Amino acid sequence: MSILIEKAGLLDTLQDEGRIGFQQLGINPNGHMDWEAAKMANILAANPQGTAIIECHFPAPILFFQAAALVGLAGADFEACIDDGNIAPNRTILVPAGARLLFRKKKWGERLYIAVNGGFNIEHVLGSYSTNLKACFGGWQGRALQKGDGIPLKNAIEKAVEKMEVFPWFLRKGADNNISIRVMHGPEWKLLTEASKEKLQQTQFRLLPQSDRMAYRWMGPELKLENNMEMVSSPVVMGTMQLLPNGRLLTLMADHQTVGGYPRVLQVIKADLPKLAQMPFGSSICFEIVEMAVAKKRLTAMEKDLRLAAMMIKEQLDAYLR
Amino acid sequence: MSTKTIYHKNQSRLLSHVPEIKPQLSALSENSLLVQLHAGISSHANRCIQHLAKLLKENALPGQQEVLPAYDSLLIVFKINFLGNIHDVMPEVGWLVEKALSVAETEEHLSGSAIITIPVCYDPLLRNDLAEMGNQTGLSTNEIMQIHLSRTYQVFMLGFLPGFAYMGEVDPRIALSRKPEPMPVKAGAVGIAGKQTGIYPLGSPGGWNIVGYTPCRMFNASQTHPTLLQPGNEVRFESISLSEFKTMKHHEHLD
Repeated sequence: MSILIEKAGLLDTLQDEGRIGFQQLGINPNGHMDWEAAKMANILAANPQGTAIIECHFPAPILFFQAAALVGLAGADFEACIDDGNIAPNRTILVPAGARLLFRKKKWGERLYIAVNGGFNIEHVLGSYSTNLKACFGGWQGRALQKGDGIPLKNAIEKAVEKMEVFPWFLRKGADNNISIRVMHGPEWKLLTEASKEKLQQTQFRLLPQSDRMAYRWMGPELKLENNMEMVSSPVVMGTMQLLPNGRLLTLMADHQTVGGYPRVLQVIKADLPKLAQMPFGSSICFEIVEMAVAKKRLTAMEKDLRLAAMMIKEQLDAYLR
Repeated sequence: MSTKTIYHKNQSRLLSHVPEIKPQLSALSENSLLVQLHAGISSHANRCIQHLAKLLKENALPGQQEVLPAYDSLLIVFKINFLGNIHDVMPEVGWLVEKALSVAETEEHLSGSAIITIPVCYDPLLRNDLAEMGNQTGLSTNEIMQIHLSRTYQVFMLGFLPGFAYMGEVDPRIALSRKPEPMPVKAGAVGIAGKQTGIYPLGSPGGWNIVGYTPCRMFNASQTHPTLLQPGNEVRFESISLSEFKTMKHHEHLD
């Protein structure tokens, strides 16, 4: 039994925590953009972490359920509906067979995650379910979902499901009033001029529409290096911020290459990557420089909250499904 | 006499390479540690990196998830839930770096790494940049081809695209810099950019000067070993005719 794509969204791909262990062969990890929302979706569907999920953008797809399924929705709020019934964001839903999941309006965020209890029955390629759009492998046939695709489900729900049900719990993304994006010094931070270092911390940067799953591009003051240097390609990770030859900043995102030849002046802390992943084009932000200890403290707190939520929801759902 | 020559050779190597290498360790992110040798494109520094990668694979550190060697630097990625202090593993990594540097002094080649021969068709009917390269260098297309074929190249690293190997070093006579604007490049294209030569595993925009095409499949995600080349390999190119190219390409795609 499958989920049928009745209408494709702007960019719907299957993702997991990324393809790990092949970067030395130039194979980039890919994986979800918002690690926190992706984890939340799997928690809401009582899945182990790393289960493949669908990442959607707006316009979002219309999905037809051939079989009943327990679904976790997290991340962006696109006004989800099961047929005529509205669903609040970040919920666990029991979807009956023959129902449609659709999304009416973009209210908040950019990326929505759909997890189904048990996951999808798709091929594991080089140790991951993530889609590599550039090299066309992994995920669903190495491409974004299209109308008519039927993504097979691994688990069947044994209980008879007659109507849609929304469970009483919900998850909230890590409460954080900090509107800036926190960064750490990158390996080439020292090469910036003193004036550029100051500008970087005192000016707002605007997210340009030429941003995608590979990289975010920023409009802001032109930044300069003390000496113009030719760098040889060196390793980069998600969140690495490079200074381009035109003096603009770029943040590498989930589909980044494994190595890059531009100075790595900053590194976005992992705790703030979800914020970046949900940021609409045109948003203006400041970069705030923090120490590694702050980055780790925040990440540990977020992961602890998620672990607690996972335990509680799994317990409730196991009892219900039995 | 011969001993003297070897002595001189070794001494010049020591003098030209060793003082350049000042290893530096730093955290790149919450769960990754960067080792930098600050040597640029250098066969010797890259050999140190390859030895270090090998040592790290043989003696994985606690929580180590992957090792990403580049030209003169290397990244060790730890599991995301490994939130121990990156600084705590630095002494051990520092010790491995020292070991890699000393091994690279005595061992020219990475033990166990293969020499791989890659067939290349330099026929202009496949639309290469040899004529333009001839204009820039004053060499004939045949001379450029012979110079490209004359060396054994070291795979410095893979990156840019899955299976894209950065190899060197190219003879200075044909070491032309990148084109000003990226152009569409087909899978299998063999190019030159500065001291580097490389093969496009997939069609992509690219700025390298294309000398020919290989019929070999450089990347195949359905294989356990998905790339034809690995860091540390040595590569020789072998000239093939257009008809051989077509036959080999046909067989590659039947697999």
